[in-house]
Formats: sequence, C-alpha cells, structure tokens
Amino acid sequence: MSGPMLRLALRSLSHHKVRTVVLALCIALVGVLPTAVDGLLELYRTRLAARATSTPLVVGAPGSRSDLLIHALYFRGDVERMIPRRVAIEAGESGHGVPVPIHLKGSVNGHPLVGTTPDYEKFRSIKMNRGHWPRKLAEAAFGSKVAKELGIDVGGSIATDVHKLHDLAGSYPLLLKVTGVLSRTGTPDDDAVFVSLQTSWVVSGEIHGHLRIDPEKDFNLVLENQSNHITANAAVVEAVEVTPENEDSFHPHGDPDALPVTAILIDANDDKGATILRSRFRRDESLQPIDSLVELRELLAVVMRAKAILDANSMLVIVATVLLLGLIVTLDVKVREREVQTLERIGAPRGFVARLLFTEIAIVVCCGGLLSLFLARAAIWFVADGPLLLP
Amino acid sequence: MRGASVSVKELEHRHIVGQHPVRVSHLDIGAGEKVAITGPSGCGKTTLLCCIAGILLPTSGEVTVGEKRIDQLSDSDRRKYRRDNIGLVFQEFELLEHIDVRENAYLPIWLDGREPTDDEEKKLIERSRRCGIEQLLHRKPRALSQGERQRAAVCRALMNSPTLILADEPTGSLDSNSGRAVLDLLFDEADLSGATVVVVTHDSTILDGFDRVVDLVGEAS
Repeated sequence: MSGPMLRLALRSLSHHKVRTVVLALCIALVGVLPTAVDGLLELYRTRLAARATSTPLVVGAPGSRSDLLIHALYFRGDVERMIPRRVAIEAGESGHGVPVPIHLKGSVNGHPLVGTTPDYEKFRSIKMNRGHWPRKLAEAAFGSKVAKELGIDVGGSIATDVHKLHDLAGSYPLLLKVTGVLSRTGTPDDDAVFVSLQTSWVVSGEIHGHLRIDPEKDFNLVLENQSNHITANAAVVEAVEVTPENEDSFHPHGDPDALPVTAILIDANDDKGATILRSRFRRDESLQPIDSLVELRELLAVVMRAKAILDANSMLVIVATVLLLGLIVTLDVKVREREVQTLERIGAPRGFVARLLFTEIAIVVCCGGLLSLFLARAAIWFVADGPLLLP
Repeated sequence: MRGASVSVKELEHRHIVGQHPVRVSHLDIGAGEKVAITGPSGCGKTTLLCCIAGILLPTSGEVTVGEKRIDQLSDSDRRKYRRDNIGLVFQEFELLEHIDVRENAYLPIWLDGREPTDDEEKKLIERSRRCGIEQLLHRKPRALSQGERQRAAVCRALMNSPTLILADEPTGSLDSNSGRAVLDLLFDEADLSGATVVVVTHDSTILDGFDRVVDLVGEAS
C-alpha cells in the first residue's frame, strides 16, 4: 500500500463521514460484546482464583457448596444454614491452624456487614489506610470502596440496614462508629464493612441490649420472672446505639459458644494441618468443608459453558455483519462506478481500485476494531471498579 | 517535445457479439496536429477515442500511436501508456469529488504510486495559472462552476506532459463561451508542448481552430 493510495482512501472515507462512522460503529458494536465478555471473564477468573488460592479451606453447614464459597470468600448471597461458633473454637484448639469465623447477616447501605475476629486482618494481610481494626462493640472498619461511596471516614457513624422491619422479634438498626478505613486491596474486602462477631450478632438479633428491668417497677415489661432469669416482652426498648452506659447490658440468650457463624475460613499451619482439619470436618455430618480451588473450577466450568453459547451467538452476529458489510461494499462500488471508471481511464494500474477499496475497508475495520477494544476496556474498567461484578 | 502521430487501420470494435460493430478503415493523424472527429451519435466517435487511448481493445485492426502498436500491448502496459503519454478530457469532467483540484491534478502521478516531485509541483502551479484556476486548487470540485471544473480537468490531463491529448466532447456540458475558452486552453497548451490533439465533438460551432475535421461516417473531410 503506497502513500498516495492511503491518502486517496482517507480522503474518500472523510468525504463520506456518515457512512464511515456508521460502518466503524457497527463493527465496534459487534466486537465489543465478545471482547468485553472475554476480558471480564478473564478478570473474573483471575480475581476469583487469587481469592480462592489464598483461602484453600472453608467450612460451613451442608448445602450448596458454591453458595458457601461465594458467601465466605466474596461476601455475596446467603447460606441455607449456619454452624455454631464452637466449631471455630475447637479448630483453634486443635493447633493445626487459625480459624477465622465469618458471620454475614447484616448490611450497611447495601454493603455486606462482615462479622469476624481480628485474625481476619492478619489472615488477609489487610493494611489500614487510616484508623484501626474494630476492637469494641459497634466499632467498624470500612473497605476503601464503601468508605468512598458513602463519604464516610474515621470518627463518623452510620446505622446498619433494617432487614426485618415487620418482625417484632427482629433486629434493630445499630449505629456503627467508624474506627478505620482499609487500604484498597482490589478484592471483595474493598466493598465490605468489618465488625466484631459480637457486633454482627447484635445486628442479627442474636445479642441485644436494653436498660436493666426491675420486676417491681417495670412489671408491664416482664413476660416471665424466674429466680435468676427475667424474660421481657416485646415492649422493652432495645438499644440501637452502644454507649458507655449500656455497653454492659448487651447479652446473648443461651450458650455463647452456640452463637452462629455462616462460615469459617481456615488458615492452616501447613498442608498436613489442613488435611487433618479437613478430615475432622468431614467426619462431622453437620459440617461441610470445601476446597475453594476445586469448587471455583466447577463454578467457572458452568460459566464457561454459558460463555460457549454466547460465543456461538457472537460468531453468528459477526458472520451476519461480514455478509452485510460485503453487501454494503458491493453497493458502494456500484455507487462509485463513475469514480472507478475515471481511475481506470486515467490509467490506474491493474488491481489499484480493488486495493484502494480494500484499504478503505481495512481502515474502517481497524477503526471499528480499535473502538471496540476501547469500549470493551472501558466496560471492563467500569464493571471491575463498579458495582456490577465481584470486585 | 513533439506530439505523437496516430494511425488507425481497419479498426473494428464490437461491444456485444451480434451488435453492429464500429468500423474505421483508415485514419492518420500527424504529430502535433489538431484534429476534430465528428459524426452522428452512435457512429463510434467515443469508441475510436477509447481504442486510441487503449481503454478499449479493438476486435480487429491496428492502432498505432507514435511507434507503439496499442492493440498489441498488454492490459498493464496500456494502463501505463495512458498514464505516461495520454491526456484525457471528458465531457462530464470526471473529477473525483472527494479530493480537491490540486489532488485531482496529481492523480496521474499518484496512480504511478509516487508523490509529485518539486518540479511537478511547480508545473502544476504554472499550468493552473495558465488554466485560470490557481486560486481554486484547494477547492473541491463541487465548489466550482462547470467551466472551472473543465479547466481543472484540462489541468489534470496536462500533468503528465502528454504527447497526445484526447478529449471526448470537452465542451458538451459548457455554454459556448466557456466551451470556446476551454478549447483555446487545450490548443494553447498543445502549441506550447507540441502535443497532438484529438477532439471528439458533435458541436459544429467549435470546429474553426482545428487543423482537420474527420467525419466518422465519411471518415475524412
């Protein structure tokens, strides 16, 4: 392709601006979906795999294994059943690793509220951008993305979401004090709010606090009065904020070790420790240990099967577009018959006109392709840093 | 530079099998001569011009321009022969609408796969001044009047310093004054370069300046 030919092609394309732009846009739009899906899936796969690799062993209640994986590692969705905290305590006592319990039942402005222990900070090697990890009841550390989105910083406060508004025995919003903001990790931690297990249990209603009830004075609040135990009725006003005055009034009903967690991440000391713990969990029918990478591979296999259908569809659309482009080029040659005739008459070398048309098409296809890549990149960037995909 | 002579012998060209063919038994045009070819519509004036230009290949007969047998050249050689030796002017100007006058003038050079030299750029300025379009070089053809377009087309035809200028009804789309001006321009340029000029026309009012008029029905007058 010579300089003059390129110049002629560019002049023709710029002269027919609308046609050129429409063709380039068509090509870009046809290419953007498969390109973006490919890029997103790759990103999705890489991020999921990185998280799963750093968390090889997860324990939860029997049920959907993929739900447990997504719940425990990516803080999405819910699990059918929970397991008692006792499992984590016993795993810790075994000396084969550090259990990191997760209790995920509440939310803050739609962002997952993750109840866990300080071990989580060490386990994920989390760095605090400002402030510190929650140490007391109702303290919270916010992921970088949530903090930015909610415009919240250390020293601020925000209430948790109300999930059971019409349930008399349900949970009440709890005012959280922001004690820390995490550095950006590029993981689901950026999108989560971290609190202690106790705080999470308060939010889910497992633990509650209220003013001390005097059976003599507050007889209208007493449902049952036993020698060492008073059961209040629903008229008692529950605390929605933890203050120095009411801090000690928060209490569970029942065995504290039986309080539920939705999953336990196991930071095993070594492979041997992980194997011992895994077999121990397998023996207990109320538990379900999962190997994160194996589960992830199965999950991705399902996604890839769905992608194959999308690829086939994209292929058909591309073929249809190529045929339509062929038709447009044929019609274009007809429309430009006079121009072609002029070039031939003046003495255009054999094949010059064909090469000129090919150059024009190549430029349009290249522009469309580049635009497609740009749009796909923009889509990936938007989705990767936006709310549409697991961060 | 001298113009090229043209010799046509027993030329026959049949567009479609079964259709009446165009026949020219004998035509000789001397180097530097200005010849008008006339005749009624459909008698084959344009076909003859195209055969001389090597755009069409005669079914039979001989076409010689200078020393070259045009009818024996390959397609590629005929294209090169046109680029290097022939200046073509058409009734409908046939300028490319998406490039400006300067770029239209450079077309024969671009088709050769090269950029114009400094000398050729100077020549364009000089010719465009003589053609009266020096100020219009950056305009697109659609911004020109009919007369300006034809002058731009003449300017393009002269860019390769042709030895033979072939014009097919060059005044057909112009009023009489513009037509005369374009023809004068062609003749002036031919006088300067010594090029042979062959003009196909059915306009009897422009025949005065020609050295010879060939009536294709009678073949010579």
